Amino acid sequence: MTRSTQPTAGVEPSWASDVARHWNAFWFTPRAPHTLGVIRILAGAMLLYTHLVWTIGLEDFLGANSWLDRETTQSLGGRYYVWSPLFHFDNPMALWLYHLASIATMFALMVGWRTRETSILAWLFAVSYCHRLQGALFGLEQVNTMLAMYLMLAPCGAVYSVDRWRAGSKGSDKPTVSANIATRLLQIHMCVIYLFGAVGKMKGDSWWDGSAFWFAIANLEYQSIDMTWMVRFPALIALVTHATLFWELGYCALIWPKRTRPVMLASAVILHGGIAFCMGMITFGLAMIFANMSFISPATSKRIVDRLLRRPASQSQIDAA
Amino acid sequence: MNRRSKNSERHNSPGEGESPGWTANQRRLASLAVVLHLAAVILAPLAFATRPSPAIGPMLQLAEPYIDAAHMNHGYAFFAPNPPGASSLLRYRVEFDDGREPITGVLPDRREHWPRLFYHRHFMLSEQLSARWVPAEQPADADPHQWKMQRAAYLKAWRSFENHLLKKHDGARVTMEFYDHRPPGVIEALNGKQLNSPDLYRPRSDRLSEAIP
Repeated sequence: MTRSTQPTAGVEPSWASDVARHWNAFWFTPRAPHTLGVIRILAGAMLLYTHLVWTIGLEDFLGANSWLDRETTQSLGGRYYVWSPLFHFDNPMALWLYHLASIATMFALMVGWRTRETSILAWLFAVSYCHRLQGALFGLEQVNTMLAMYLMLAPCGAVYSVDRWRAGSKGSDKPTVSANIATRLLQIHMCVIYLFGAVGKMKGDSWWDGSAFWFAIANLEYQSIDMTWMVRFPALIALVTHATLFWELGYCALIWPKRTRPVMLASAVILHGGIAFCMGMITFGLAMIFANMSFISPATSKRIVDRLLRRPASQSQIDAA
Repeated sequence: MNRRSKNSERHNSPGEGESPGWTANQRRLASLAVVLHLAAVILAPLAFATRPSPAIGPMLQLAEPYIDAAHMNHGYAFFAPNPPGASSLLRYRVEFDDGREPITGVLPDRREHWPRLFYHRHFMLSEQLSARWVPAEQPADADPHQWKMQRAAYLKAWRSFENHLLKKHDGARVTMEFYDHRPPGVIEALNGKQLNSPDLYRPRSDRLSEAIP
């Protein structure tokens, strides 16, 4: 139990005050920005790459005569609350300028330049592309926009950034409540993703009869590494199928205790690494791993970065936070 | 009890005084925002899983502007309820009146669409157009109004694809056809069937009576 969750000495806490105390400790205990700083670099790089790839087929996907033109995109699904400046560009030059601005923003987010502003802009750009590009999206965008959304709530440029470098000794990596709220929201969002991922799978026969994994690896259009040799080991295929389902189902409970968290995180790396490298969705697999990093403590993130940069480990406020 | 400790007692109700940094009112406001946001985060996949149920539908309607505007309208049903059975490949042929050789292609195409993310974009184009597919014949158990609307939406997307190909290549005519490419079953694979075996590819008819064997 952390200090902030201890009841006041001599006072018998009521159930309500107990809940309020735990609520406050969970949401409003300041957190150092180091993990979010690392996630900002990785998510920023993923957003940058995603938008660079759009460059290859910019007019095919976003131009006036794109695969799904603006009118069709707006009419599909009957959704009324989508917005995007990309619905209003008739001029290719305007489209290209908007696109270049989005790439510059993603780069600025990645390196942490004027992070407060660029993190908000990055989310706006990312969502504006998603709304216009219905019909060509997959899970990657769901994770990209989620990461961008929570990064803009936090001082994610306080460390490992151009902002920090420019601020010099005036810069601060002190724990903040906003860093904690952003981290908690991201963590809970991840639990929701896995929980409903499992709920969806529980409706399907193949996740129960053990064949789902086979149909995932035997799909030639997804395949990037041939794993079909596993067909000779049907028990192994069934085991991986069941393990995936129960891992997703258990994630929202087992990711929180310190004893089971490393196992869940290691499993996440294996699962999403497999999706990334065997099923051709490197970007999606990596983005999910980046989002899972929200469960790594700031102190651990700092230790790892210090080790990577061969910096002597320094004691700071984050160890206490 | 001095004035300072009295003030502290008044402003910090039990359980609210241990979080430094934010005042109690700031925490209350943030708590409200957090609860509303998380409700929206959960409602979107819940509506997807329940289709939505009469209990979830009205709540979804309330939250829909926020969920849509923030691009959170996802079911997170990755490879669910089952992994994709057959992949949908869209083959096209653009013809010209000026004597040029016809252009043919397929979505997706690993040789043409690179890097992998770009390939996946084209794969999603064909998969998601295919997911909208509604047969030209009205199924017996379909609601006529719904079938008509869904068929019209599918054709609109289909024509947008055709228009793109015509404009991009400055063509005179375009034909497009869906092929379903199913993975082999376990027994077939054990018997040596390859993933690209020709009999695993099958053109899709637009007619319901021909689409379902």
